[in-house]
Amino acid sequence: MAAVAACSSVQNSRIGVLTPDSSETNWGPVADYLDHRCGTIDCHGNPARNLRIYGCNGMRLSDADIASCIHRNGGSLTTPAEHMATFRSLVGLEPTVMSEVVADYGQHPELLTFIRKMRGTEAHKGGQIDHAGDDQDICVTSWLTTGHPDGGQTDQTACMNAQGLPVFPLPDASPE
Amino acid sequence: MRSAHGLLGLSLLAAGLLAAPVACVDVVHQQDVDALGPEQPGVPPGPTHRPGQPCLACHGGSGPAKLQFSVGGTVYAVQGQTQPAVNAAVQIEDVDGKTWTVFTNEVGNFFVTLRDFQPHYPTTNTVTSADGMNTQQMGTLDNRDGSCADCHTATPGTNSAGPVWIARAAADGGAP
Repeated sequence: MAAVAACSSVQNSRIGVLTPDSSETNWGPVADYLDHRCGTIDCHGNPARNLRIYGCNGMRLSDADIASCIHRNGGSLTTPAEHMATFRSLVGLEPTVMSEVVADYGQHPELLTFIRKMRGTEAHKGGQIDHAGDDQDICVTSWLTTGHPDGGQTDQTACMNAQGLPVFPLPDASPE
Repeated sequence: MRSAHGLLGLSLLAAGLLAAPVACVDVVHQQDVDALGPEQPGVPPGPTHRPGQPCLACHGGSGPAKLQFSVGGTVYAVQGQTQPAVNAAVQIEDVDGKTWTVFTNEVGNFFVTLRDFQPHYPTTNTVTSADGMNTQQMGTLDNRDGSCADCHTATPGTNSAGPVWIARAAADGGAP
């Protein structure tokens, strides 16, 4: 009779994937940017997507929260648990490729499908989100360098700037 | 070895199948339409029907409605209440800076036809009461969905901020 092996919690076991840092310091600003730009309910704030983004701009993790960041409307800010849920979803898209990118100090982020979709070099229903080297791109790609022991840190300024994008031009007020 | 009669029979069968009308049904779309239920008694199909329902489920180009919208929805006067916002201004500004303003009707419905305006997503959306005293800007980007009620369902929850409203309810839940 085969012995029944005791399985440790999937959440806490190592499964051999190299990932960028999941801390609130390095991952939190990235998660907040992704929630702002990509996590609305009509896009990745939706359980039907492969990439699920959790946060107050779209899909909530807890039944106690509603899809709103505005406290006086009954909403609440994105929680660390939601950050972690987004992290797991993102890393889980292509864990093998993610490991390769992290092992290589994040030098080739374009190996990841979600980077190519953001940059518009791969078909994406949401269209092109950023350009290589802009604040949105730097926010995410700097985070990809954080997994290696000798790696870098998330560019907090880029992430802060990215949360204000896109900037809508002033409406055309010229008379017809 | 097939007989001449057998070959003729097969040919006739093939020709008949090709000539027969083939019904193509998008089952998922049909389920979305069916889920909306029947019309409200006494309210014929038209601008005042189905307030609060996702307009583009039928008017989005996949049928059954012939008139196609780019954007459509319902606005309510007060958060958490069912009174419609009549003659409220709905302004849609797209990422190119183009704007379109449309006014709600007597049940709070509004719609923008494809001929009027096709926004380049994402958009920011604002609603203003008829008397100009209250304005609400949508708390997130609208990244790709012109059917407001796809996200703004009847009840706030983990996947919805609830219906679109203009004035926040008073502390006692009454009108502001």
